[in-house]
Amino acid sequence: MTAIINIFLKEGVLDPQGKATHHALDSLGFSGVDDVRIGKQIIIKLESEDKIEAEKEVHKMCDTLLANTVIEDYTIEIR
Amino acid sequence: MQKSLHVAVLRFPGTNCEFDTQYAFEKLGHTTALIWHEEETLPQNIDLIVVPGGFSYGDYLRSGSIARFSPIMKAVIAYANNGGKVLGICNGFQILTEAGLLPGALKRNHNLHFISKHQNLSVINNNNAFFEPM
Repeated sequence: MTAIINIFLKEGVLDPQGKATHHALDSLGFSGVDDVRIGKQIIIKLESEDKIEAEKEVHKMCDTLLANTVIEDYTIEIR
Repeated sequence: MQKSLHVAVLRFPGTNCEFDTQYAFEKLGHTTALIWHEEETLPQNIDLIVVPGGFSYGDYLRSGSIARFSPIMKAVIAYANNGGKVLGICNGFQILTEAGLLPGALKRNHNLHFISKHQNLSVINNNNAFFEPM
């Protein structure tokens, strides 16, 4: 199974990288941009073929290490 | 003259301020022990633990997020929970927030500016709570 984890700053936490990129897009003439947020994606290949177990394990990985849940949210997709 | 303290200075891969930190405490007449992150126990009679600055684990994932799980950190957390004092400087401070020894988390600077300025410092005292023996 493969777990695809997307980690973003929580809504309301200042994202200066996103803002800087937004300004850069504006300067390049891309006019329709309302907001830019930048996060990170972590891809984990797991031995397990059990989707439910895999998702539980990956949740624990996120809560323990991969995300700082004080300021970050995450989503998990298991394929 | 205050009592000479025995100070544990931690060292992770990527730490770069451990020697400066030792120098500063030794200049004040204290003794220091450099503790590699793979150690599982602290020396006896430590009066203070210092987590120095640097770029532990290259700031990978999040600054301090990997160092906080190093073997030595169990002992550091137990030491703090038993009333011991732990000083985190720069990346050391980041490690302490990731370890939950300090509340909160660190955000990026406004405008993403790396700030490099001369700053004037005053030594207000070197006889404060951090210098009280255990």
